[in-house]
Amino acid sequence: MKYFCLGYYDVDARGRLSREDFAAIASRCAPLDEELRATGAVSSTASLVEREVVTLRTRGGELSTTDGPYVESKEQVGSFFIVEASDLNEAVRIAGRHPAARLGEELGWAIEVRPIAHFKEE
Amino acid sequence: MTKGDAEHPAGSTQAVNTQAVNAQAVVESTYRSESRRVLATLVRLLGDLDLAEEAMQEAFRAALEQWPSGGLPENPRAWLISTGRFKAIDALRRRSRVDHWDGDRLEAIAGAPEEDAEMQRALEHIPDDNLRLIFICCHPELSHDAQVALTLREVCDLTTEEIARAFLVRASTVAQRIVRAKATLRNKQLSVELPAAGELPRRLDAVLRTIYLVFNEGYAASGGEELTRADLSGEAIRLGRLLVDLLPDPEAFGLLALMLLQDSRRDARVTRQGDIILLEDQDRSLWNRPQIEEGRTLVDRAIRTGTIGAYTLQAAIAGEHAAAPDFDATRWDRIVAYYDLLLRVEPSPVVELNRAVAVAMRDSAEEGLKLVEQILARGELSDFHLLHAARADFYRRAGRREEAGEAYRRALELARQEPERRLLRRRLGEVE
Repeated sequence: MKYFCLGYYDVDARGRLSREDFAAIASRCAPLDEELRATGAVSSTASLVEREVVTLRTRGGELSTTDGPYVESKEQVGSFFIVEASDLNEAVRIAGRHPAARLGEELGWAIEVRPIAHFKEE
Repeated sequence: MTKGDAEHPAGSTQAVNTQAVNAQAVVESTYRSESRRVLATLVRLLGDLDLAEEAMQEAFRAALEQWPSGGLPENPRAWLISTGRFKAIDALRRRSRVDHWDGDRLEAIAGAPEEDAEMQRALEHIPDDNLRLIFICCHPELSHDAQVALTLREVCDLTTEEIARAFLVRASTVAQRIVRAKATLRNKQLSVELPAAGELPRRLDAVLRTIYLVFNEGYAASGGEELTRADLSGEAIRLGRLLVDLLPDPEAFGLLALMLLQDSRRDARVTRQGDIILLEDQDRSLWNRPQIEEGRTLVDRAIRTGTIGAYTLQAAIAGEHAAAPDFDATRWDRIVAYYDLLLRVEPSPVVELNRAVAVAMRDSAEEGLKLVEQILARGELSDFHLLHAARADFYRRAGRREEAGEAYRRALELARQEPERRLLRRRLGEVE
């Protein structure tokens, strides 16, 4: 089974944190990242650009584009990765090694784990 | 012929591939036969369920990489345990740079005795390790839901999603139960020791109850996908067998016997439409005879130990029903005697009610009524639909149709499961 994991962060908290404090957290990420890679179960890791988000939708039969994310919230998706695991608990255990699950309390970091129903790599 | 061709003749690539395929098949079959044992021993060596699971996965991953080229180790189980332990030490070493807690654990684990002696001991202790894993998953500090989920996942190797389907809950709910249960075990440091002799009865009770809960979830005709639910009963019986192998306690025999005997009637107890068929109306040729034989042998074995508990007595009662060639030949005198004993071992109004039904069969419906009225007079089970259903049956058989109708209506008010309600409505129609 594949599980889609989304990394969330708090946009405002990110702005409030000093450069030094942020650097301190960032320096603790590398060993966790390394460990996550070492499980061999993680693929398609990505981090996302904060600005320049466009949302597309059809409204009144017309395609419209709006500036900004679909859900207006201070918590935004900042990264994603895919975990290959035998079940949800194994996926949770593996995703639990991601920096956003272990660090960043002051940044509102969190990881959401979602089972993938259908997956096709083009 | 060039040198390259000599080294890699056309046939040998295929041979290597076949070998690789075989090795992968060997790893897979080793996983099925050994993964629980390897996990159980790693839990003892590492003192933590999550760490042990991770180490086990890593060990099997390493096997997939190494066995195809390096060949099968002499003792695959020992290889997996040893590899798992080293993988865990590696992981903790990496983590100790981030996490002080992991660093402390590393000292405890890496400081364990030398490898050879350790492995030898590890292999000698495998039955204990399996038993320990069951006791860990059924720890009394955990909720019943958590015990069931953890046992099915760690001991039976069901996935979170399979457990969720069988219990008609969401996978995320089960996942959370398991994560929390593991955290409880870790925080209270409950994981590694087998219960001391003095504590064993209480701990064993929790194990037996968990297994019986799994069985009943699969046996109850409460809807859901029937196949998955029958599988749950199968898992419970498998657990019961494992427990009997590891810990030949009389009540472990009793529970296995009870499950086998109840399950032997599975095909005869509901119609294709999901309606309940009462014991007296069941087609006894559909009962699973080998399972009945096995169950009754186990009951005898448990009784011969001289320590007779509640599961054994319930199994003995089920065994009497199973032994009767037809409903009229049922030895109700023996069944009442077993209920008398059961009341002494585990007094409860529900057991009293069941005994009243047996007395009504042995003597008369009036005698059964008297006993049920006594339970009601004490203010017990007045909201229990089965008490009113039994009362109604007694009135019906005594020819007191009006009182029977009233009692069926009361039972209908209280019953929740649809097949039971249909049966009650049918009976009500008969007396109206």
